Amino acid sequence: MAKRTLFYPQPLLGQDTGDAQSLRSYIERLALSHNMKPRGLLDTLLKEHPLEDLSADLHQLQKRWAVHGFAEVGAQLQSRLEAATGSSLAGATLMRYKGLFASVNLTRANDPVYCPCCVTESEGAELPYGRLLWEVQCVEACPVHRVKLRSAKLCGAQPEERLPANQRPSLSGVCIQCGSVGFKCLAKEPLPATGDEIWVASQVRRLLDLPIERVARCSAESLRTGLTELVKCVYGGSVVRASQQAGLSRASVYTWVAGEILAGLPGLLQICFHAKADVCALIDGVYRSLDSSPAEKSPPRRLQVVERTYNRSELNDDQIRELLEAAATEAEPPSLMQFARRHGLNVDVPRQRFVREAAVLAAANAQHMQLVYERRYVEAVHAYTAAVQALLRQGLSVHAKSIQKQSGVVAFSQNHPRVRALQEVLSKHRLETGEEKGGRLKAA
Amino acid sequence: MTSNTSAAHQEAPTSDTTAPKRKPWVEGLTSHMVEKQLEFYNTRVKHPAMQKLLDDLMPLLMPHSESNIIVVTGATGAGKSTLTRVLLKSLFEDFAQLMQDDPSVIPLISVEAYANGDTRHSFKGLYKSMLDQLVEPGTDQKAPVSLVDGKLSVQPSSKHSIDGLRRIVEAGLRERRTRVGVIDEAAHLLRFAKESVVMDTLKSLSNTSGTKWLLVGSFDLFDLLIDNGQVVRRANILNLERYRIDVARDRRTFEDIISKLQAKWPSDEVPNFVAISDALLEASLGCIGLLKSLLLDASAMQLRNKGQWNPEFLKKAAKSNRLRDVIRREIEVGEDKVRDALYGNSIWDDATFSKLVHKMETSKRG
Repeated sequence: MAKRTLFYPQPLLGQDTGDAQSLRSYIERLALSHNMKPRGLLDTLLKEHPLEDLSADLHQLQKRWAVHGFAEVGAQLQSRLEAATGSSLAGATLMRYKGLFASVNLTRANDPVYCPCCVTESEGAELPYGRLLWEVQCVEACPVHRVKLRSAKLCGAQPEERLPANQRPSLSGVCIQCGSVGFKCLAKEPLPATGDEIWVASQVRRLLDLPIERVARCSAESLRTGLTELVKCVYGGSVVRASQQAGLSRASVYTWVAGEILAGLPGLLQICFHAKADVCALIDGVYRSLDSSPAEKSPPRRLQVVERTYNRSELNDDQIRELLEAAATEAEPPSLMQFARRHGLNVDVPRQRFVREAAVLAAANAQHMQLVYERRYVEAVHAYTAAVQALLRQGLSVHAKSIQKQSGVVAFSQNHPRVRALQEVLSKHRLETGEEKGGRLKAA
Repeated sequence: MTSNTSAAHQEAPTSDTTAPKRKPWVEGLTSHMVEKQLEFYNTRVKHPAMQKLLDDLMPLLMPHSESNIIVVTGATGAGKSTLTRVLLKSLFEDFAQLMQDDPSVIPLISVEAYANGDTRHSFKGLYKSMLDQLVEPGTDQKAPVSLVDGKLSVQPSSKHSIDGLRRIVEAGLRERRTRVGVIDEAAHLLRFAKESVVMDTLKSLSNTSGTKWLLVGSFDLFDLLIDNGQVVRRANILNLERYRIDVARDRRTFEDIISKLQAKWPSDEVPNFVAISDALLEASLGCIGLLKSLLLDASAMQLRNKGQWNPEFLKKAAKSNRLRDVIRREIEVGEDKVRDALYGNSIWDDATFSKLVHKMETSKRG
């Protein structure tokens, strides 16, 4: 007789569809059906089916849930759960795309999101479940309901309605803070997603919808062939033009086409968006135009799938110099960092290439900030002095905390004019009353 | 007196000092004797009364039957424990293919409602036994959840409460697709709580998980059912009948049973019990369990007498008259109590039913 499975045979929800359940959600629901917390379930699982050569820190595992990408821990956890439940969980992670896409910027970590419409549709007997789609980092919208995904950290309940830490449920689609199923604690309407966000989410959903056997037939080589064909058909074979027009670095596109490194999913979607290419065909090694792309109706443009700390600036040197000089004469001159951000430049561009103009701007900004700090100091002294007088009138003790509370002006370390003002007012008060620090009166 | 023709395995007592210390009750017996006595102890005779009950019971345990609670009663020593063992073996064989096909299924559980003298914790003990049978993982890490007004909250401390344990058991029975739960010594459930509470609990367990409950115990089990119409609707009572001295067929059957037991007699010198089968039937009140106890005691005395049979052993092994009367009175009261409530005892008497059958066979259809 075969040995009984460790856990109940819970099937993966949405198996073999674009709405497949994520491994995290599967573990959470499995724990719920066993009347356990995910931590307890994983603890029990790993005692019976230990991971190989991995010292799994369950606390970290549950904190980050970095199990949906290509990490070994995710693959091992999946296989252990399959053994413990007898259910197939192949669709619960992105592991099938290993060797096809780069692992960077693939999945979210420590920032769970959900579709505010999907979680309310699962009402009734069934509790909502988390989709693998929501775990993909570049997905910002729900392709079904066309709304923006929402952070699961937000709770709309009053502080007194929130649950104590040991009673909080851990289940996708349920508010962890107040336990509201379907996040009904948040009354505000879901935000509509942009066409670009919906396009990206739809393409990822199509990728997840692909049969596992078909994905297994694809390889890095077939994707490289597809990319080469795309560059050839849309950009006349120019990697430079492809990268510039799609808003990607030349090095990235070149190394993908040359087969030196694997393409990241966000970057791949970005170039597909610009070229109106079908990403599902591309991994098969074929370039095919996607008729349903929203970009078809508008001229090719950039899509910010890949997050950047700065935008590419199209300014030339003369323009930058003029802008620096103009900024130095403004009523409130910006810092060099603020100036660089304002014009989409790296801060080193004005600092290293326009040394004189940058120095003038920095001096103007320093002079301006000096005035700002002085004004803040005067305002704070005025507020703290009034607070001391009010405290004395009420017969209350005067100290740093009571002064800040009375005045409503908080002196925190980053706001040094206020800190200086508070020390000044307190010293003056102690001098006048003969009080030592700590509230003791000086000896006569 | 007859003698077994099998080869006598006489073993010389060993003088080996390294041999493990023997238990006092086997002192003076050869290992062959002990083995034979154990074999006799484990002998199970599948007799017609048991077979009839099993035939009635099996259809009620099928998934399509609406009987959720089935009570098997019987006189003390009638063979209920043997019946339970035979039934479990039979059900296990029935479910073997199902268990082979799906390793997550636990279609059958069997627990004993033991009484430990503490009323408050008895249900907890029963639930914990059920969880053990369900191979429930992480029982020390349970944190039951409650869903109230659309809000889910974890109640970690409720894993120690009866309600929390019940929810865990319900989930286990449902998810493991348990079809039959057997509770032996179920009359002890009466000590856990009021009759209505016990039956409501079992009814709810059955409704939420789809498990059929088979309660095996004394005639007191009848009290559990009788005051609850809701439960009675989906319950049936079966009685393991004893053999009666005034029924010729019963006497013949009893003789057969004695013959089978005699064939397994642990000593080479086998007393002729078949010749006195009627007397043994009377002494054991027609209960196979009591008969077996009597014969076991007599065989033990014979073994301790170096295998030499002495008719006095039989006299000693038989229950004293006073004790036998206590048992007889209890059995008669119990049988009177359940007689009209038994499975198959419908509103029609034999004459009325014959008329009904005749009408069914002779009337034209449509």
